[in-house]
Parts: sequence; structure tokens; C-alpha cells
Amino acid sequence: MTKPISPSRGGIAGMLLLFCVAGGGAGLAFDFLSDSGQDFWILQAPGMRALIGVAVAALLLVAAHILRLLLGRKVNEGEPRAGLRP
Amino acid sequence: MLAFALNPGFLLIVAALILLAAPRNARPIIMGVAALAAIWLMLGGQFGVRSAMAQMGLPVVLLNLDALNRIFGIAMLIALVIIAIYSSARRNRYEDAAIMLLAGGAVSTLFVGDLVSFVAAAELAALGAAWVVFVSPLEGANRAGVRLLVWHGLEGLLFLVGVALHLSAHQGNSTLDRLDIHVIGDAFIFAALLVRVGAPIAHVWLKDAIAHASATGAPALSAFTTMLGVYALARLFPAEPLLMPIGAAMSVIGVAMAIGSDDLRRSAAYGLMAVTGVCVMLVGFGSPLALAAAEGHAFAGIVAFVALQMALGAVVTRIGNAYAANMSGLAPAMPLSVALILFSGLAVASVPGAATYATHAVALEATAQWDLRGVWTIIAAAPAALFICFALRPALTAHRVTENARARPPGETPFPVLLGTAIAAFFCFSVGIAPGWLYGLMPTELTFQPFDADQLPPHLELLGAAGAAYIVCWALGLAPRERPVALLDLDSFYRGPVAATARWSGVLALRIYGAGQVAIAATGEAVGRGLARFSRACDRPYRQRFISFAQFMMIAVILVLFIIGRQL
Repeated sequence: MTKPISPSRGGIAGMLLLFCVAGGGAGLAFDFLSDSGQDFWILQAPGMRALIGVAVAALLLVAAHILRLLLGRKVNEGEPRAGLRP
Repeated sequence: MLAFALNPGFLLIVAALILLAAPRNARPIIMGVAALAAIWLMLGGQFGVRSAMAQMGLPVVLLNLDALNRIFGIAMLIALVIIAIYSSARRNRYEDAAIMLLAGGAVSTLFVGDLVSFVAAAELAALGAAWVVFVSPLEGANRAGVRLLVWHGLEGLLFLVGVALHLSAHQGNSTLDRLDIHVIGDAFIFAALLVRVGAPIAHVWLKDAIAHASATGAPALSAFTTMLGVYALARLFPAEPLLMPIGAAMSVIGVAMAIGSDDLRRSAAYGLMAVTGVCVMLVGFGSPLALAAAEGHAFAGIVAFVALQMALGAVVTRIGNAYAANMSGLAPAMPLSVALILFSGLAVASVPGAATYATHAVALEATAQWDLRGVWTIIAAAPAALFICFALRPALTAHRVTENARARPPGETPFPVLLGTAIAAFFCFSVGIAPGWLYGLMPTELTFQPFDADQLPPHLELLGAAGAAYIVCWALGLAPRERPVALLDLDSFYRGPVAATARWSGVLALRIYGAGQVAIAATGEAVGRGLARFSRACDRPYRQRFISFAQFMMIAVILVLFIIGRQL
């Protein structure tokens, strides 16, 4: 009995994660360093953009699950959708 | 420089007619040359009214150049040049002509200077858009074209009523100037423009049309439809507070639907809706800096979404659709196309260095100056959502190698498709790296440094945090699995239950009508039979006393009426 091959992700996830962490980390560091203290509200304070980013990611995932649950309709094989005609 | 007083859009309309008769190899060249000639006409012209006349007592201004329409004109014409390059890979003269008609109508709308010409040109662009969908080879395109035509018909109706009321209220003054939403005629025009920008409820036409357009038609629809509405709102309804909640709703609905949709072209259409929403919000805010940001963001958004639709169109050309569920393992087979999708997605997501970043920074500054917290938060958060939807999601999906994907034979799309997409993406980044040129085009003089320490680090932080959070969730299996799923929108409601109710109502009405017809026929027959019996009986008055009495009475009544008539 052969072991089923697990889907490979091609290493792209690790690379993208590295870019995101590096960019985000550098941005966070410079954000704190260059803080002028003249923020018109709390979400403009240093570090808060990272919080917004994480919140957006979480909200998008929740929205995707909820939308697919409520509004998603499974498309069967051969059912016409927008695509080139066979 | 030699300058003609000719609306640049008219040149494109003439070119559309020529394309119908031109040979295949000449068509992309005609499209590109016509677009370049239009740019030359536009940049060579001086600001102000250049071509005006009177028709039926109304002023008709066919050319009115200023900084506002110039920035939109440059964006649309550059998009047209890129689409011309992209389109040279396939042969469909009707689609070429349709795209040129759409572009010609849209560019004409930008440069006319009176309401009547504005509506005429905008509706010509609408017809061109419907034609682009009709000529698409995709499944269901004809029905989608009809639906688009219905939406634009509604828009045209609102325009006509609005312009008629406006003309009657202003003694025939039809200059394109600021309108007042509290006046009934102007409110109709406002409603028509909401249909054009794809405001909530009316947003369904955009994703429907783009999902059913061909690989070349979708970029054209992205460039020449909703952003024309943004221009018109900036021209006619700047600083209209109602636009702010409408724009905010467009942004939120747009990104939410974009992440849920399986069809990435439909998803990109929702993304365009979100970016258009940001522009609408800024127009609604209406300070000089906000208006400049709206115009700049529209410019950058046009080119970025053209690039994204072109990159997704490359996949459509190769595998027939751009469903995320079908894109697993696409990267080894189409590495260049997938790389272009990633770059276009980054351009859409306002990554530092992209044109959208330069204008997004201006938009944030404009809202921060006036302490608009809600608007600021939505504008600040939008790039994170777009980054996830259009850069990370397609890249992760395309690199996910499954058993089925391994069987996919390698093969890229034709070279012109890749070239057109690469030029569009390159343009986005070249403008974004040196944004001074774009700032110089804006109506408001702008000295802004988007790469300053107070702009760049927070933005990097936002994108980095959002991206890292999404990738971790994706790796943990918390992101929804890509599977063939059609996401229902408002149009599913009126195409489903409402249409079924209307069909049943029609059937019921037909049945009632048929039953009524039968009843009338039966009644008529019975009355006829009765009359025939009566007339037969009148012929034989001796048979029945009652009939002879009735006959006598009838003759008596007629005689009495005759005598009364004579006396009078």
C-alpha cells in the first residue's frame, strides 16, 4: 500500500511569509522610530497599522467562510459557468 | 504645436468603424495609432472651450479641455494603447470595433462640455460595453449582455429624465457644472451616475459583465466604465456628503465579495468596485486635496486593474477560465503569467512603488487633515484586503501542486498577451516609483513625498502584518478551500426568485386572459343565439303572444321616439 502524496505548496508560502515578515517588521520598527506624536486618532499611532492588517486578514477569512456558507452554491461538473465553450 | 479643436473620443469612434473593414494584422495597429493620435490631440489642445455650437436652442460644447478631464483621458488612452497590444493575439473584428466604440464613447464623454452631449456620449459608451459582452465567446455572454443593456437602459432613462428636468428648470442652461442633489432633475442625474459607478445594488452589472467578457474585453470594461462615473461625480457632484457612505459601502462590499468569489476575474471586478468606492468617498469629501487624490487614485486604479484583468485573461486564454479552483498548480505550466498576476495584484494592492501607493498616500493625508476617522480607516485598511485577495491568494493557489495539476501540459499564452500585461504592470510601477509626473497632472498643485518616513513605514507594516497573518492562517488550513462555488449576489435574487415569480405571474395572467377570452366567446355565442331566436320569432309573430306583444311595443317605442324627435 502506497502512502498518498500530500499536496505540495511549492515553497512559495515560505518565501511570501518571509517577505511579509521582513517588510512588516521593518515598517513596524521605522514606525516607532519616526513617531512624531501628532496622531489624530488612536489607529494612527505607531504599531496600530499592524493591528489593522491582522484584523483585516482575520475579518476577510471570517467573511469568506460566512459568505460561502450563506451565499455559496456548489457548481457541479459540466454545469455552465462563465468560461470558454467546450 | 499644431492643435485641432476635435474631441479625441471622436477619433476613436471613427477608428471603430474603420476596424470593421480592416484586415486582421492592421487592426491592432489602427487601434494603437488612433489612441496615440487621440493623446496627441488632447495634449496639444489648450484648456477651455474649443468647439461650441447651438442646436435647437441648446448650446452644444463638443470639446472642453481642463485638468480634470485630461488626467482621466490620459489614463484611458494609455489603457487603450496597452489593450491594442494585448488584443493582437486573437482575431475578432467585432470585438475590436466594440472596444474602440466603448473607449471612444468614454473618452468623448470626458471632453464634452454640455449635459446633452455628455449623456449621448455616455450612452454610446454603454452600448459599446454591451457590445463587448455580446461578442465574447464565453458561455452565457449573450444573456449577460442583455442584463448589462437593461442596467444601462435604466441609467439612460434616469439621465434623460434628469437632463429634461434640469433644462426646464434652468431655462435651457446645459453647461456641465456643479449640480444640486436637492433639485429633482439633478437627483435623477445623480442616480444615473450611481448606476454607472456601480454603487451598492447597482454593482451587480460590473462583475456580471466582466466575468462574461473575453480576455480582451474584461480589461476594456475595467478601464472605461466605472471610472467614467467617478469623473462625472467629480465634475457634477463634488463635496456631496451622501457619496461618503455610498463609497464606504462599495469598498466594504467589494473586498468582502472579492475574497469569497471563486472566479478570480469576478473577484477582480469586486476589487475594482472597492477601489472605485475609495474614489467616490474622496469625491464626496470634496476638499481640493481629496479631489486630487480621487482623480489620481482613479488614474492609478484604471491602469492597475487593466493589468490585473489582462494577467487573468492570459489564464482564460490558456485554460478557458480563471477559477481559483482550477488554478492549482498553474505556476509550473505558466510561470510568466502567474508572475504577472502577482505583479498586477501588487500594483492593485498599493504596494510601495506602485502608482496606487502614491495616490493612496495622498488620500490618507487628505482625510487625516480633516479628522475623518471612519473614511480614513477604510482607506487605510483597503490595501491590506486587496493585497490578500489579488496578490497572496492567486500566488498561493497557483503554486499549490496537486495530482491533477501535475498532468497539466506546460504552455504560456501568446507573446502579445504577455507583452501587453507586462507593459501595463511596468507602467504601474514606473509611475509609482517616480510619482512626480502623476502629481503634476492633478488639477491641484501637489508637492507630496509618498516615501517619507511618516508614510512608508506604516504602510509596509500594514501589508506585512496582513500578509503574514493570512499566510499563517492559510498554512494552518483556516482559509477556505478553493473549490468550484458560485457566490450568489443581489442579481441572483432578481434572476432567481423574482424572475420565477414574474414568470409565474405571466403564466397566471395568460391563463386568466385565456379564460376571459373563452368566457367572452361563450357569452357572445349565447347572446347571438338568443338574438337569432328572437329575430326568428319576430318573423312569426302569430306563433307566440309574448313575441307579438314585444314586437308591438318595440314599434310603439320607435314611433314615440320619432314623434318626440320631430317635436323637438
